[in-house]
Amino acid sequence: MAAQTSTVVFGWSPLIVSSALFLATYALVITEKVNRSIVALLGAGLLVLLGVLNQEAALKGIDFNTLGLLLGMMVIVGITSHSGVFQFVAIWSAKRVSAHPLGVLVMLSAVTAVFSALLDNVTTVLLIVPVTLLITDQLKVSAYPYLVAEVLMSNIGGSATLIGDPPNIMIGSAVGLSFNAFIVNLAPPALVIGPITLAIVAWLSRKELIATAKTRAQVMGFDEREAITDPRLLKQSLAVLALVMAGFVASHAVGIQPATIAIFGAAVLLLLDNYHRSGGDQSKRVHHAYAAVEWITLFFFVGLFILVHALETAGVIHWLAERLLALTGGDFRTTALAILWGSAILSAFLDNIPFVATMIPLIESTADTFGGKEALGPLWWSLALGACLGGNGTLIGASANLIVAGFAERAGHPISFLRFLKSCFPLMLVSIAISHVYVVWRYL
Amino acid sequence: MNHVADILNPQPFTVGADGPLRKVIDIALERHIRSLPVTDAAGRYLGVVSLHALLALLLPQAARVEHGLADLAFMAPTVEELREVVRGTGSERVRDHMDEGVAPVHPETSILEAALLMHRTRENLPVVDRETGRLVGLMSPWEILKRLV
Repeated sequence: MAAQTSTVVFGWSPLIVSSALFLATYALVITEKVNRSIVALLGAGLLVLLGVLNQEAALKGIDFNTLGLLLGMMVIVGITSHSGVFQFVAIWSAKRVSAHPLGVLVMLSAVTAVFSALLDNVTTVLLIVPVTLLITDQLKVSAYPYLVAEVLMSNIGGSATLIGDPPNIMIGSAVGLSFNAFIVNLAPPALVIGPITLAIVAWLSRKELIATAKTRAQVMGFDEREAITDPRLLKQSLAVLALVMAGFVASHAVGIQPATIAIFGAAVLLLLDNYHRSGGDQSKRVHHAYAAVEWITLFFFVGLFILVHALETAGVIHWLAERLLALTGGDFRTTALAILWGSAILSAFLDNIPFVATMIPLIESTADTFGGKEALGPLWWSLALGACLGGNGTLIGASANLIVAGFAERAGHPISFLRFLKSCFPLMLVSIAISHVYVVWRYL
Repeated sequence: MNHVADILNPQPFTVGADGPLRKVIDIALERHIRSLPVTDAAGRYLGVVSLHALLALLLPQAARVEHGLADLAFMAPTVEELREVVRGTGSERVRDHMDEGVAPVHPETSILEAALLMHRTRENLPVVDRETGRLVGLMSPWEILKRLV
């Protein structure tokens, strides 16, 4: 690192410059005055311009596996959504329970959780929420409990797999934890927390879950088969998704990174959707597929990885890890639980992506104290549970929450920050308490 | 003679912002007009209410908003059910259904510029006095055709 740090302008300490830039970036992201991807790229650019990192070192900090996995899944889900499958599943599931408001709440929540676990939770809520609002409008019931349940279940479902939520993708990629390891370790708590959370939401809103026979008949009149707009694309998408999932399950054993599988899957689906079309038509459709990628998120990741890498090379992360160990007395159990609760509380109010990006090298730095990298598993699961479930604490806790809130407001069903906080922060604490018991029971 | 002021329709049908939507429907049906400028009590331009706004009333809210439902093929309400929806909206205020995003032109705007805007927006153009904000007329493809052909 000496070669990189000696060129810092004005002889400033790289430790101070990288910390100041990271904190300034973080602060600016919180204010939401400037788009977060712009802020992160500016911060990363300044790091290189000020000589804290050279370009080569900056690029080394970027986790291309995380970016590739997100990119591939975004393309696959974007194309799949054009087939109408999300509307189909939502309507089909509502009709299975005879459009009873409580049954619809349970079914749509379950659908949201499962899709969030297997795809990504932002896209899931983006596609499930409009159908939900249509159904609640037809039933003439309040949309609030449904939207809140979908927010909560999207984050709980997302916490269960490697690909469900960005924090898990980052942890899995940085540490080399497999898709199967995430399911084995994180699906069990999600399977307990999901139903308990849903039961509490249903009980709290039980007086609102009443519909007449007439409004229920309207929903029962929906023909879900008509929601499938492109049956050929649907078959292709489901086949590719199934293969991608199988690839994730097998990837670790055969030494292939998840990003390769996701991007290869995206390429295959693009091929299937385009090979029979004219050149001009292909260009239009492929352009459309790439436009569905959330570039803001991806560029935010790029900037953030560089900023965190600078903290790492300058020794800031090592220093923070020492402070954490000093606070927990170097006790493994205390450290794991501190990470769980600390991540949850912070992730409720802050963006969990930069938080997890910082915590990953920090936890890695504790390997020597706790007997090597292999022994750190419980700390990673505590971080994943805290960061994913913590997002349920406030309306700004996770991207999925903001997407639902934005859509609900446009559709005339605004979700107030305080109302959400009052009901969901305690629910988040319940989920972390369950995770606490799980972590202690299983690992400590 | 190359400005909007020279050829505009100086007495277009208009509707008050606080009037009922029913009035728009009546004028539209009677005069075969697709859109009407909306004004306040002092005659200041506020927006445009069009038949598209009335069509939107038939649609569920979840399909009307940005990133809403992509299609509604799975819903098949009867004509009577749709009629009931329209019946219930007649007493709503024009203000709640007008489009405030239709930018007006001014009497001194060139005819060619107005033609370009109409071509791009496929809308008639309210003509508004720059100083007072009052509606002084309407430009539509008819005005251009009547004068130029």
